[in-house]
Amino acid sequence: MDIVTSFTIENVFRIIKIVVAIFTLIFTLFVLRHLFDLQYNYKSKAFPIFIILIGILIFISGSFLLQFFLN
Amino acid sequence: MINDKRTEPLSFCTQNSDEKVFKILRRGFVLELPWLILFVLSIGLLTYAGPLISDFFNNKEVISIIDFVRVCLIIMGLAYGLNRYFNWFYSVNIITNQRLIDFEFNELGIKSITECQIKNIQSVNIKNEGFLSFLFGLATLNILTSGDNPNIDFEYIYNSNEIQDLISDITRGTHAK
Repeated sequence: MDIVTSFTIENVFRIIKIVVAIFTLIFTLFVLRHLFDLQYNYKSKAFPIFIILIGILIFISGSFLLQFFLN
Repeated sequence: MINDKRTEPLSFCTQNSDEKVFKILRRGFVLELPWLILFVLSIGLLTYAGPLISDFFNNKEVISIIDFVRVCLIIMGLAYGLNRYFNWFYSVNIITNQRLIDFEFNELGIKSITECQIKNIQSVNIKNEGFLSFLFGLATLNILTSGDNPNIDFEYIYNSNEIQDLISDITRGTHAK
């Protein structure tokens, strides 16, 4: 594909979306990593609930990213 | 106090087999309200900003990308809010029969863990400062230790008099085993 023809507004928007989705996924994964660190220090019984909550966010941000590669 | 159901099943990473937890304490949740209100307002604004943005732009592509970024920001905002809550929840002060431990977590990857042995405690002071502390009965317990051992602050806790008494009892060895 010619680089000039591929440099369309549609493609630029697509790249921006992918970058934003990657940032979102990375941030939620950082929070998950931090949660494991917190749980290591002080063992809480609420840990599974926290994992489910952050897991939902990771699943949503992961599915955002995945849609670009499946289409 | 020793039979507090909420404190019984807990454990922490460096707990000894013969170490018994008497009490866990957290900062008053009321001090978390400023960021919580800001968080709810931000998420609400991002959620309901969609139709307003659509009115400004006619280009379908532009609306699509703004909507996408908006949803991503909501997800990141929720993750940030959860992270702040986790930090509050896991930042605990633990009183055991052998030592006092202060776990403090502020941001991603930043933590501070201070502990001091019961035998090194010199005195326990209560410090009341700030309007919120006055309003909601919170106080800071300043635990002074001997020698090079670090002092420990239990910041903005409820029932500070009761906790001061408990620590004094443990230090003197008169607390019920």
